[in-house]
Amino acid sequence: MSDRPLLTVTGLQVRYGGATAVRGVDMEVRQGELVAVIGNNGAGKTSILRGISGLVRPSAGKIEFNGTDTTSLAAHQKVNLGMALIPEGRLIFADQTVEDNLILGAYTRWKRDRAGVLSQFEEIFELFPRLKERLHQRAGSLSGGEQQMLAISRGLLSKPSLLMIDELSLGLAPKIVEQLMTLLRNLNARGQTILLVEQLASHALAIAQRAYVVGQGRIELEGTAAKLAGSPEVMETFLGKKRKAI
Amino acid sequence: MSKYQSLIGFAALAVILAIVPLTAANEYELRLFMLFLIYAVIALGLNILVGLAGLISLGQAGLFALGAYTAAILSTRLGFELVSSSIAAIIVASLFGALLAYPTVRVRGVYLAVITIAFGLIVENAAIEWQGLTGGPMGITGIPKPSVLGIPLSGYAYYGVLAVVLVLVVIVTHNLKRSKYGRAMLAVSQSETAARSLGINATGIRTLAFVISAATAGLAGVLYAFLNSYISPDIFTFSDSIRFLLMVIFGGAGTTTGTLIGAYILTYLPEYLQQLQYWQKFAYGLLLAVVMFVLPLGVFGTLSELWRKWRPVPRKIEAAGLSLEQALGIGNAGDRLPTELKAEGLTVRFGGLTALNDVSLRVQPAEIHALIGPNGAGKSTFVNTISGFYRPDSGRYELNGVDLTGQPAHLVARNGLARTFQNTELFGDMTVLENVMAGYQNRFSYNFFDACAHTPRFLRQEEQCRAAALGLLGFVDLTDYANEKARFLPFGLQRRLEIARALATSPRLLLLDEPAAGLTTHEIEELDKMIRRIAALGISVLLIEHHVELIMAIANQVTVLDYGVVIASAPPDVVQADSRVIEAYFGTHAVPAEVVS
Repeated sequence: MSDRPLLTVTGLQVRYGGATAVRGVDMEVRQGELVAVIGNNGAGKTSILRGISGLVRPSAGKIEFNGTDTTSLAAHQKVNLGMALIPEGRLIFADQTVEDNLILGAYTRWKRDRAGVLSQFEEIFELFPRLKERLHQRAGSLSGGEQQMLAISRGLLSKPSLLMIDELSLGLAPKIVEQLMTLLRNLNARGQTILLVEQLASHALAIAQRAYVVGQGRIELEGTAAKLAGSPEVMETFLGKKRKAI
Repeated sequence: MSKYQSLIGFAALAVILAIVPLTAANEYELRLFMLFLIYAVIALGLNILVGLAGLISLGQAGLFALGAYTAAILSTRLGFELVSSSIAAIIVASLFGALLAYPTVRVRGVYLAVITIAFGLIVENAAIEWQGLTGGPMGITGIPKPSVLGIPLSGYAYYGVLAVVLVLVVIVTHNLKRSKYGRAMLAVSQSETAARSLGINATGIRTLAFVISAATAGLAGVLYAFLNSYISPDIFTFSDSIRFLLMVIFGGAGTTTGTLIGAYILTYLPEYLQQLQYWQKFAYGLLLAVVMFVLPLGVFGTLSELWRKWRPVPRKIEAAGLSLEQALGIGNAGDRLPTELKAEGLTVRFGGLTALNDVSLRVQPAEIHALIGPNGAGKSTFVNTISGFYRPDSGRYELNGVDLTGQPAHLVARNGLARTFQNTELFGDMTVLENVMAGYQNRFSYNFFDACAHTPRFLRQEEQCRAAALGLLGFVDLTDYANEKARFLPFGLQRRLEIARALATSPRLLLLDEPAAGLTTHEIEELDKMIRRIAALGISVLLIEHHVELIMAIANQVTVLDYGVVIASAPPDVVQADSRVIEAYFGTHAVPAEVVS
């Protein structure tokens, strides 16, 4: 991990029609970091990722990536620069095969670096042997866990310097969540920079180095994951009080 | 649009229709305006199909022709008058409308459009070739002047008839739009799956929309035949079908005012453009393209959208709703019949894959029963089967002793099973309140006539429905978003809205498919309370969930599926200690989801 910021967001504001979802957010992701964003539903977490990745054009603010101003770039241009988003609900291409989904993930590299893509396929099959077994199956027929594996693989195939993940755990069994969280930690240990939006705050804080707590479209708290996980304020709001024995 | 605004609108239309004949400079001008009245009748009916049911018809000229030919033939050969030929034509056109609706069982979108085009071509061709009946390319001449009970209707009197018919069609279509029928059509067009799960018969509702659009087109055909006293096949061509569709889209699909504006502009535009001679069609096309690009929701649709942006409707509705018990129509919690779901030996195969293998499960009355298992274990298949979306290869299931095996989803729903969806299936363009009101659908007892006329019975029941919906929104804490379009809600709130909508059906058994996915712990605590409250009212709950802590806290019984087979079914503490379950589901650490590993 270095101190060089890979992503610097200043004063980000996102609006949908009359409603303001993100009201002036500043955040930073340094090279090699795993940063978590946690907060309640409707707090603006997804909108922050949509703004950063260019799926929605920010109404104000600045997004610097690798030293370049990318605020007004479209989503596909940002992928070319090395930003990849794994969207909420996975959004795999359900009617195409698993293989097609992977090839589409490598869309930006398929022409100029086919050999590189194919060798990365092998790496991915090592991570997720299930995907190899189901290579020619329709992606929509995969189980929820397999779909998330496919979505992660698809995201990795653009060789992003920044991997953004929206709701890794959504609809997944505890065992799979655990596996995928471990996988993220390993990817990060190998140098992959990750920005993770996650509802299961304790899981996210367990693997992240730093985290932001979002509420009502603003950053309410920020700090190291360990510090936030220990903060009574965070525990109360997002982790809930310990359930009484029934 | 409020009731008040609608009444002002109806009155304004009546005044305009009364004034126009006084200002018409000559017979030609009046005649052109009468043509507009006839086209507007077609467009208003088509608007029900396009704007509400979300279906495209490019064969409307065929139905228009059927009406016109029916009237022409009956009046020239059998001496039918205006009223009797109208009734006959409406029946003929409606039958063909129902016939046209049949393909929607299989095809939608552009494929359906192709079928309606084919229908229009067939009618046009039959009119040309069936010379004995239709007079062939020369058409039918000598249609008698319109008369009612032997009293002939002169130019102005006939104008009066057309004006009254238009006002009636405006009132009926507009009223239908704001009734359970209109809501059901919108619901089916936005999410057929969800609509069916609320007990809405999707095929029936689409057929109704087709029949309404066919009946109005047939009626317009009669009015046209008597106005023109001469009809021939070249009046009912494919390009006329296109023009009728354009009237709806150009004005603003789904809006009554927009449809009238569209019909007016597209009736008059070709007349004005005639001065351009050779460039007439070019200018017509260009104008359409530019207007649709600038005003993508149609003239009126876009303007009213801008108006709403400028003067937004408050998101919150202040009025207090009914209490949860009242909203569910339960006097006392004890009044409810005990409800039991029994599934026995369910097997479901997809090709070579056996998704469910001899699964039996029993949900006891007022029990909270959790169904868990790894992703791909067959939980979703089980849910989709018992709610009527898949057919089991073998086995049966019953609710309260009523065998529901193989019944379609809307009948399962009407028998008391309500559900939510893993990936949320809301009616995105309807408001939060309207989504819940759509769930109330089968609790109305008013009929089609009540809906057309907005009778006191209709108004009373709609008011009751609205109050119940507000009460349910209060229960799931969404009153603040009542007027927001459902698709603008954050994911977690969408889940709560689905619960409110499912409750609006007043179910016996509520099936929750991963309600805690994407919720924070705090929100899950609220969900916990909500589910307990629902069960306390005597509604059984079948809960498909991954959030272990929630399951352990509220479930009375837990069934675990793995590879399509039940591997355990026991109280939560027993299941949690079961080594097979730990292996298959919890993972090696066997810790609740929220404990940091």
